[in-house]
Amino acid sequence: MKVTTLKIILKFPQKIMQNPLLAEVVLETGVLINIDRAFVDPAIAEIVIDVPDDKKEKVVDAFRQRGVDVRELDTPLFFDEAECVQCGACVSVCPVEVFKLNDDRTISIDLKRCILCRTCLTMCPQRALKVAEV
Amino acid sequence: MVKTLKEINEKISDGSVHVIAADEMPHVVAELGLEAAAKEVDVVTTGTFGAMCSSGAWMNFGHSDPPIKMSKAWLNDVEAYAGVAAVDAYIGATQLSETRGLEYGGAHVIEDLVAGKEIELKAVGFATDCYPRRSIETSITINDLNQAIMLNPRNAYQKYAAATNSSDRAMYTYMGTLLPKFGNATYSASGVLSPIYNDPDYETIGLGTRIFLCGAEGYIIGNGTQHDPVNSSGTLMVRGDLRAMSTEYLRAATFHKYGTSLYVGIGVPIPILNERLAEKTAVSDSEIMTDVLDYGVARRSRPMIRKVSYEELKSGIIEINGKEVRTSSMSSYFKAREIADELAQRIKSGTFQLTAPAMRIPLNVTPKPMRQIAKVPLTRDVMTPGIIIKEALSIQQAAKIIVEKQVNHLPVVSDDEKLIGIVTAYDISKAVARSKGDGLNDIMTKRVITASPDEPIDLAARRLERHNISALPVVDGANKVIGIVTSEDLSKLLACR
Repeated sequence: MKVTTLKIILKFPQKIMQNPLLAEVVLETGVLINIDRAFVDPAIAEIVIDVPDDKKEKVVDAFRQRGVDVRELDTPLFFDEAECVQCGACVSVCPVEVFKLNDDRTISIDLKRCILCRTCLTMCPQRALKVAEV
Repeated sequence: MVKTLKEINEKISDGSVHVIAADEMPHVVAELGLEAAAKEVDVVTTGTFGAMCSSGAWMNFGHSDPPIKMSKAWLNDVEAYAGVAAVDAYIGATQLSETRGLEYGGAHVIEDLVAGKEIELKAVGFATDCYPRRSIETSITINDLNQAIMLNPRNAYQKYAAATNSSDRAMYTYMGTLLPKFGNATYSASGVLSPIYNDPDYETIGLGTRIFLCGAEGYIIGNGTQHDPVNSSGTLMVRGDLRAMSTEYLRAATFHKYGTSLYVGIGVPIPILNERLAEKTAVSDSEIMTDVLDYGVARRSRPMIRKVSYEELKSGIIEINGKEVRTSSMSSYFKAREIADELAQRIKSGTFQLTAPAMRIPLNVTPKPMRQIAKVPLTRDVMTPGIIIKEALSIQQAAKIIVEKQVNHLPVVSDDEKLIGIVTAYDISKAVARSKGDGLNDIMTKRVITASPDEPIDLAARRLERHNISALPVVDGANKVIGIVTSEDLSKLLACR
């Protein structure tokens, strides 16, 4: 049986950034977490992880107890169909293949795969892709 | 001669004309043979929908009271060229807004005009006896203009080189985002549907050819600028009435860190007058080859990585140096096909008659590079020998050299003279302040940004700016330091220019 996964975005407040929180949560919960994207610099730490659907509660609770801001990525990317001209510029820059060029040269989009890397936002010449700022 | 243009136009009038899109022609010819295909098919329609930077529109605003002779004009803060008479102006697609920067430009003004939106017009001029007014601010829509004529100096490139990037950073170009280390490749133009590729000898395409232009009826008015038929890169100059156009076939675009451009939809009908034209319109994507260029090298002649067919580009993956590289189209084949179909529909319904060219397009020209009378200074012309130190030196010794020689940067080399790091006065201060680091190896920057001796200084200057640093060691092919170029060297030189 294929396990469905859920994407979660973690924001680490500066005062706890130095702690090995991700490792702690993995050890404590025993849940295998996949890191989709991580952005860490002295001021901000933001990590998008993939967790199995049925273990979600456990992982979310463990991060929240440690003071991490946790949010589910339900519809991360907004696609404005009216702006799209079906060029396919987005296809080659997406690291997780959200965009697929169909045989009839239209583009299909699988938003569930998105890890919010934002590369497509600036690639799209028509600015048809947007992310809700949080 | 199988049939004449007059005969084809009669068939268009009586509704018996046989029209197909250019991507169907290879199959028809394969099935029927050339002779029968030339008799059977009357018109092949082509299409393209992509970013065409060399586009714009002429407008006439009508005269104000009291009248003004505009010398400069702005539409939604985008400057339009007004140096022609009193109230004529040309808005170019890539001119940027003076207030909104890269996200809004002439292309957006054109799209907003076509969409019927209100546009803010500002203009200034110097007063004359006949035109006493000095400035005006008003609001207009496309319906308030006497004329709004799209006139594009260079459109419908026959083919275009694909783009990739060998460098170790992402590049933002008019071919889109090019990921580092051959992370992707992008291409443009519609291949099998390309107007000029279906009539590469310009037998039917010429001045006066009636075309589909952004939803309106338009005309080819000659070859485009930079027309390069010798290298299968011909271009067209086109015009059409902006007021009859639709945003369905005309879109403003923004390329990240590059600026604006206009997606222009063009469809050109090719009358099948003879077998030769049947053969040419039967061209397929596997026969149309283009170059893959390395945009990682910011020079006029970018290195060619390989040749590739449009069939491979459209498959979504091409091979570069043994690696599978994903491709993106920057132009829309889907829209190009829609345009070829729409044009075919108009011809079948009898509303679009074909025209014979009044003048042929030249076949034996190729563009020249710019004549530059000043020699472009190279890094080697401005670099200084620099003070190069060995890794074994202590921090103290390095500090002494910086003070005695009055320099800020010391390239660090290994025993075999290869560059392994750079130490700045700041690195040393920091090490002393924190009482940290035993040797140079602990405090030097190891990923050194360098310059090559034969590159123009503009490239070195851009690298300094991008990395926010103030010096680049100049290294030869063997990574041996042959000098150093600092921001002071460059600013001294640029101040003299």
